[in-house]
Amino acid sequence: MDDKDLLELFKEEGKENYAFNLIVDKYGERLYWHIRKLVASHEDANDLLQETFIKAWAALPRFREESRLYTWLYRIATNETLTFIKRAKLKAFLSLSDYSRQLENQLEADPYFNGDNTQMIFQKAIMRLPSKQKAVFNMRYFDELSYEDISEISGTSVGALKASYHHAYQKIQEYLKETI
Amino acid sequence: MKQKNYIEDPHLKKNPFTVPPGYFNEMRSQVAEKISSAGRSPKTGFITVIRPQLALVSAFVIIFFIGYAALTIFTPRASESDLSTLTAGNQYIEEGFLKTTFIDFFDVDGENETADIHTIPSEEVISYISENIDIITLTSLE
Repeated sequence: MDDKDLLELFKEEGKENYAFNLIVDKYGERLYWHIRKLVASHEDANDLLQETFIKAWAALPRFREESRLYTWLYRIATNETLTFIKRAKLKAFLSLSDYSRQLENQLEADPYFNGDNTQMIFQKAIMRLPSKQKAVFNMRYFDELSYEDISEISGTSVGALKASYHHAYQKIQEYLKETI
Repeated sequence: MKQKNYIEDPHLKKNPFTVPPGYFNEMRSQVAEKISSAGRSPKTGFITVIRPQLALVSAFVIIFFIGYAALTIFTPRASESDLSTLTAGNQYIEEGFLKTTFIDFFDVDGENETADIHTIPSEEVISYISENIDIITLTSLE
Protein backbone atom coordinates (compact mmCIF):
# COMPACT_ATOMS: atom_id res chain seq x y z
CA MET A 1 0.00 0.00 0.00
CA ASP A 2 1.45 3.36 -0.93
CA ASP A 3 1.58 6.41 1.33
CA LYS A 4 -1.43 8.10 -0.25
CA ASP A 5 -3.61 5.04 0.42
CA LEU A 6 -2.27 4.80 3.96
CA LEU A 7 -3.18 8.42 4.61
CA GLU A 8 -6.65 7.94 3.13
CA LEU A 9 -7.15 4.90 5.35
CA PHE A 10 -6.00 6.90 8.36
CA LYS A 11 -8.69 9.51 7.68
CA GLU A 12 -11.45 6.89 7.72
CA GLU A 13 -13.47 6.78 10.94
CA GLY A 14 -12.34 3.93 13.22
CA LYS A 15 -9.41 2.89 11.04
CA GLU A 16 -6.75 5.23 12.42
CA ASN A 17 -5.04 2.60 14.58
CA TYR A 18 -4.97 0.04 11.80
CA ALA A 19 -3.61 2.54 9.28
CA PHE A 20 -1.01 3.79 11.73
CA ASN A 21 0.17 0.26 12.49
CA LEU A 22 0.68 -0.23 8.76
CA ILE A 23 2.79 2.94 8.69
CA VAL A 24 4.88 1.57 11.60
CA ASP A 25 5.30 -1.71 9.69
CA LYS A 26 6.40 0.12 6.57
CA TYR A 27 8.82 2.66 8.07
CA GLY A 28 9.72 1.34 11.52
CA GLU A 29 12.85 -0.55 10.51
CA ARG A 30 14.16 2.15 8.22
CA LEU A 31 13.70 4.85 10.85
CA TYR A 32 15.26 2.63 13.51
CA TRP A 33 18.48 2.25 11.51
CA HIS A 34 18.58 5.96 10.78
CA ILE A 35 18.35 6.73 14.51
CA ARG A 36 20.66 3.90 15.56
CA LYS A 37 23.48 5.12 13.31
CA LEU A 38 23.23 8.53 14.97
CA VAL A 39 23.17 7.43 18.62
CA ALA A 40 24.97 4.04 18.44
CA SER A 41 23.10 2.52 21.41
CA HIS A 42 20.20 0.14 20.72
CA GLU A 43 18.31 1.20 23.87
CA ASP A 44 18.50 4.90 22.97
CA ALA A 45 17.49 4.15 19.39
CA ASN A 46 14.48 2.13 20.57
CA ASP A 47 13.33 4.91 22.92
CA LEU A 48 13.75 7.54 20.23
CA LEU A 49 11.92 5.46 17.63
CA GLN A 50 8.94 4.98 19.94
CA GLU A 51 8.95 8.68 20.76
CA THR A 52 9.03 9.44 17.03
CA PHE A 53 5.95 7.29 16.40
CA ILE A 54 4.05 8.73 19.37
CA LYS A 55 4.71 12.24 18.02
CA ALA A 56 3.75 11.17 14.51
CA TRP A 57 0.50 9.65 15.84
CA ALA A 58 -0.39 12.89 17.58
CA ALA A 59 0.53 15.08 14.61
CA LEU A 60 -0.74 12.96 11.71
CA PRO A 61 -4.27 14.50 11.69
CA ARG A 62 -2.56 17.85 11.01
CA PHE A 63 -0.33 16.43 8.26
CA ARG A 64 -1.14 18.51 5.19
CA GLU A 65 0.60 16.33 2.63
CA GLU A 66 2.81 19.22 1.52
CA SER A 67 5.71 16.83 2.02
CA ARG A 68 5.78 13.08 1.53
CA LEU A 69 4.96 10.83 4.45
CA TYR A 70 8.38 9.21 4.65
CA THR A 71 10.29 12.52 4.57
CA TRP A 72 7.90 13.82 7.25
CA LEU A 73 8.59 10.78 9.43
CA TYR A 74 12.32 11.10 8.79
CA ARG A 75 12.13 14.73 9.85
CA ILE A 76 10.43 13.85 13.15
CA ALA A 77 12.95 11.08 13.82
CA THR A 78 15.93 13.32 12.96
CA ASN A 79 14.67 16.20 15.11
CA GLU A 80 14.00 13.88 18.04
CA THR A 81 17.48 12.37 17.73
CA LEU A 82 19.29 15.69 17.34
CA THR A 83 17.47 17.05 20.41
CA PHE A 84 18.49 13.92 22.33
CA ILE A 85 22.13 14.33 21.23
CA LYS A 86 22.11 18.00 22.22
CA ARG A 87 20.90 17.06 25.73
CA ALA A 88 23.45 14.24 25.97
CA LYS A 89 26.23 16.63 24.92
CA LEU A 90 25.18 19.12 27.58
CA LYS A 91 25.09 16.36 30.18
CA ALA A 92 28.56 15.22 29.09
CA PHE A 93 29.84 18.81 29.21
CA LEU A 94 28.51 19.25 32.75
CA SER A 95 30.21 16.04 33.84
CA LEU A 96 33.43 17.26 32.14
CA SER A 97 33.56 14.45 29.61
CA ASP A 98 33.55 14.33 25.82
CA TYR A 99 30.34 13.14 24.15
CA SER A 100 31.98 11.71 21.01
CA ARG A 101 34.43 9.83 23.25
CA GLN A 102 31.41 8.45 25.16
CA LEU A 103 29.88 7.30 21.86
CA GLU A 104 33.12 5.59 20.87
CA ASN A 105 33.24 3.74 24.21
CA GLN A 106 29.60 2.77 23.77
CA LEU A 107 30.39 1.44 20.31
CA GLU A 108 33.28 -0.64 21.61
CA ALA A 109 31.13 -2.15 24.36
CA ASP A 110 28.02 -2.60 22.20
CA PRO A 111 26.92 -6.27 22.12
CA TYR A 112 24.88 -5.51 18.99
CA PHE A 113 27.81 -4.34 16.88
CA ASN A 114 28.89 -7.04 14.46
CA GLY A 115 31.30 -5.09 12.29
CA ASP A 116 35.01 -5.74 11.78
CA ASN A 117 37.84 -3.43 12.80
CA THR A 118 37.60 -1.27 9.65
CA GLN A 119 33.87 -0.80 10.15
CA MET A 120 34.49 0.09 13.79
CA ILE A 121 37.02 2.76 12.79
CA PHE A 122 34.63 4.03 10.12
CA GLN A 123 31.79 4.32 12.65
CA LYS A 124 34.09 6.10 15.09
CA ALA A 125 35.02 8.58 12.36
CA ILE A 126 31.29 9.24 11.77
CA MET A 127 30.67 9.63 15.53
CA ARG A 128 33.25 12.43 15.60
CA LEU A 129 31.27 14.58 13.16
CA PRO A 130 29.00 17.40 14.38
CA SER A 131 25.51 15.91 14.83
CA LYS A 132 23.80 17.68 11.88
CA GLN A 133 26.69 16.84 9.56
CA LYS A 134 26.53 13.24 10.79
CA ALA A 135 22.79 13.07 10.01
CA VAL A 136 23.35 14.46 6.50
CA PHE A 137 26.24 12.07 5.86
CA ASN A 138 24.27 9.02 7.05
CA MET A 139 21.15 9.88 5.04
CA ARG A 140 23.22 10.31 1.89
CA TYR A 141 25.77 7.54 2.36
CA PHE A 142 23.80 4.72 4.02
CA ASP A 143 20.17 5.51 3.19
CA GLU A 144 21.09 6.83 -0.28
CA LEU A 145 18.50 9.59 -0.10
CA SER A 146 18.63 12.28 -2.76
CA TYR A 147 19.76 15.78 -1.77
CA GLU A 148 16.22 16.98 -2.54
CA ASP A 149 14.77 14.52 -0.02
CA ILE A 150 17.39 15.42 2.59
CA SER A 151 16.57 19.07 1.94
CA GLU A 152 12.88 18.34 2.61
CA ILE A 153 13.79 16.49 5.81
CA SER A 154 16.30 18.96 7.19
CA GLY A 155 14.88 22.21 5.80
CA THR A 156 18.34 23.08 4.46
CA SER A 157 19.15 24.08 0.89
CA VAL A 158 20.58 21.50 -1.50
CA GLY A 159 23.75 23.58 -1.93
CA ALA A 160 24.37 23.73 1.81
CA LEU A 161 23.74 19.98 2.08
CA LYS A 162 26.27 19.22 -0.67
CA ALA A 163 28.86 21.34 1.11
CA SER A 164 28.06 19.66 4.43
CA TYR A 165 28.38 16.18 2.92
CA HIS A 166 31.65 17.11 1.24
CA HIS A 167 33.14 18.38 4.55
CA ALA A 168 31.99 15.23 6.36
CA TYR A 169 33.45 13.05 3.60
CA GLN A 170 36.83 14.82 3.82
CA LYS A 171 36.97 14.55 7.62
CA ILE A 172 36.15 10.84 7.56
CA GLN A 173 38.65 10.17 4.78
CA GLU A 174 41.37 11.96 6.79
CA TYR A 175 40.54 9.98 9.92
CA LEU A 176 40.57 6.67 8.05
CA LYS A 177 43.93 7.48 6.42
CA GLU A 178 45.45 8.26 9.83
CA THR A 179 43.93 5.31 11.65
CA ILE A 180 43.84 2.37 9.24
CA MET B 1 50.46 6.85 -6.73
CA LYS B 2 46.72 7.15 -6.32
CA GLN B 3 45.57 7.23 -2.69
CA LYS B 4 43.08 4.63 -1.55
CA ASN B 5 39.56 5.92 -1.11
CA TYR B 6 38.35 4.01 1.93
CA ILE B 7 34.85 5.50 1.99
CA GLU B 8 34.00 4.10 -1.43
CA ASP B 9 34.77 0.58 -0.24
CA PRO B 10 31.40 -1.28 -0.55
CA HIS B 11 32.24 -3.22 2.61
CA LEU B 12 31.86 -0.02 4.66
CA LYS B 13 28.36 0.58 3.30
CA LYS B 14 27.18 -2.60 5.00
CA ASN B 15 25.28 -2.10 8.24
CA PRO B 16 27.51 -3.27 11.11
CA PHE B 17 24.78 -2.93 13.75
CA THR B 18 22.37 -5.67 14.80
CA VAL B 19 19.32 -5.85 17.06
CA PRO B 20 18.17 -8.38 19.69
CA PRO B 21 16.24 -11.29 18.14
CA GLY B 22 12.57 -10.48 17.46
CA TYR B 23 13.11 -6.81 18.21
CA PHE B 24 11.15 -5.35 15.30
CA ASN B 25 8.03 -7.42 16.03
CA GLU B 26 8.27 -6.42 19.67
CA MET B 27 8.72 -2.77 18.73
CA ARG B 28 5.61 -2.87 16.50
CA SER B 29 3.47 -4.27 19.29
CA GLN B 30 4.91 -1.76 21.79
CA VAL B 31 4.05 1.15 19.50
CA ALA B 32 0.59 -0.31 18.79
CA GLU B 33 -0.01 -0.63 22.54
CA LYS B 34 1.12 2.92 23.19
CA ILE B 35 -1.09 4.46 20.52
CA SER B 36 -4.07 2.40 21.70
CA SER B 37 -3.61 3.61 25.27
CA ALA B 38 -3.19 7.17 23.96
CA GLY B 39 -6.67 6.86 22.45
CA ARG B 40 -7.90 8.43 19.23
CA SER B 41 -5.39 10.78 17.70
CA PRO B 42 -6.42 14.35 18.40
CA LYS B 43 -8.22 16.15 15.61
CA THR B 44 -7.14 19.61 14.68
CA GLY B 45 -9.25 22.06 16.64
CA PHE B 46 -8.95 25.75 17.41
CA ILE B 47 -7.80 25.05 20.97
CA THR B 48 -5.24 22.50 19.73
CA VAL B 49 -3.80 25.06 17.34
CA ILE B 50 -3.57 27.92 19.83
CA ARG B 51 -2.57 25.75 22.80
CA PRO B 52 1.14 26.76 22.72
CA GLN B 53 0.25 30.45 22.54
CA LEU B 54 -2.25 30.04 25.39
CA ALA B 55 0.41 28.34 27.47
CA LEU B 56 2.85 31.21 26.79
CA VAL B 57 0.31 33.90 27.73
CA SER B 58 -0.65 31.98 30.89
CA ALA B 59 3.00 31.71 31.87
CA PHE B 60 3.46 35.50 31.49
CA VAL B 61 0.32 36.23 33.52
CA ILE B 62 1.46 33.88 36.31
CA ILE B 63 4.96 35.44 36.34
CA PHE B 64 3.42 38.93 36.49
CA PHE B 65 1.20 38.04 39.44
CA ILE B 66 4.03 36.33 41.29
CA GLY B 67 6.19 39.43 40.79
CA TYR B 68 3.37 41.73 41.87
CA ALA B 69 2.63 39.62 44.96
CA ALA B 70 6.32 39.51 45.88
CA LEU B 71 6.58 43.30 45.59
CA THR B 72 3.43 43.81 47.65
CA ILE B 73 4.52 41.40 50.38
CA PHE B 74 8.14 42.41 50.70
CA THR B 75 7.89 46.20 50.27
CA PRO B 76 7.91 47.75 53.83
CA ARG B 77 4.66 49.59 54.46
CA ALA B 78 3.68 51.55 57.66
CA SER B 79 0.66 50.12 59.46
CA GLU B 80 -2.24 52.23 60.77
CA SER B 81 -1.09 52.07 64.42
CA ASP B 82 2.44 53.07 63.40
CA LEU B 83 1.01 56.03 61.55
CA SER B 84 -1.01 57.23 64.54
CA THR B 85 2.06 56.92 66.81
CA LEU B 86 4.15 58.85 64.34
CA THR B 87 1.53 61.57 64.06
CA ALA B 88 1.31 61.89 67.85
CA GLY B 89 5.11 61.93 68.02
CA ASN B 90 5.33 64.69 65.45
CA GLN B 91 2.76 66.70 67.31
CA TYR B 92 4.69 66.23 70.54
CA ILE B 93 7.87 67.46 68.93
CA GLU B 94 6.11 70.42 67.41
CA GLU B 95 4.72 71.40 70.77
CA GLY B 96 8.24 71.42 72.19
CA PHE B 97 7.79 68.69 74.75
CA LEU B 98 10.22 66.36 73.25
CA LYS B 99 13.81 67.13 72.55
CA THR B 100 15.93 64.83 70.61
CA THR B 101 19.41 65.24 72.04
CA PHE B 102 20.91 64.57 75.41
CA ILE B 103 22.00 68.19 75.77
CA ASP B 104 18.49 69.36 75.15
CA PHE B 105 17.20 67.11 77.90
CA PHE B 106 19.94 68.26 80.21
CA ASP B 107 19.23 71.94 79.57
CA VAL B 108 15.53 71.50 80.08
CA ASP B 109 16.03 69.80 83.44
CA GLY B 110 18.58 72.38 84.58
CA GLU B 111 16.32 75.28 83.65
CA ASN B 112 13.35 73.69 85.37
CA GLU B 113 15.28 72.96 88.57
CA THR B 114 16.62 76.49 88.77
CA ALA B 115 13.22 77.91 88.04
CA ASP B 116 11.63 75.75 90.76
CA ILE B 117 14.16 76.82 93.37
CA HIS B 118 13.66 80.47 92.58
CA THR B 119 9.91 80.33 92.65
CA ILE B 120 9.54 78.70 96.16
CA PRO B 121 9.44 81.38 98.88
CA SER B 122 12.02 80.97 101.68
CA GLU B 123 9.30 81.07 104.38
CA GLU B 124 7.73 77.96 102.89
CA VAL B 125 11.11 76.19 102.87
CA ILE B 126 11.72 76.98 106.52
CA SER B 127 8.26 75.88 107.63
CA TYR B 128 8.61 72.68 105.59
CA ILE B 129 11.94 71.82 107.23
CA SER B 130 10.69 72.60 110.70
CA GLU B 131 7.63 70.44 110.25
CA ASN B 132 9.32 67.44 108.66
CA ILE B 133 12.88 67.16 109.90
CA ASP B 134 13.62 66.52 113.54
CA ILE B 135 16.40 68.19 115.49
CA ILE B 136 18.72 65.19 115.35
CA THR B 137 18.76 65.21 111.61
CA LEU B 138 19.45 68.96 111.65
CA THR B 139 22.43 68.58 114.00
CA SER B 140 23.87 65.71 111.98
CA LEU B 141 23.91 67.96 108.92
CA GLU B 142 26.38 70.25 110.61
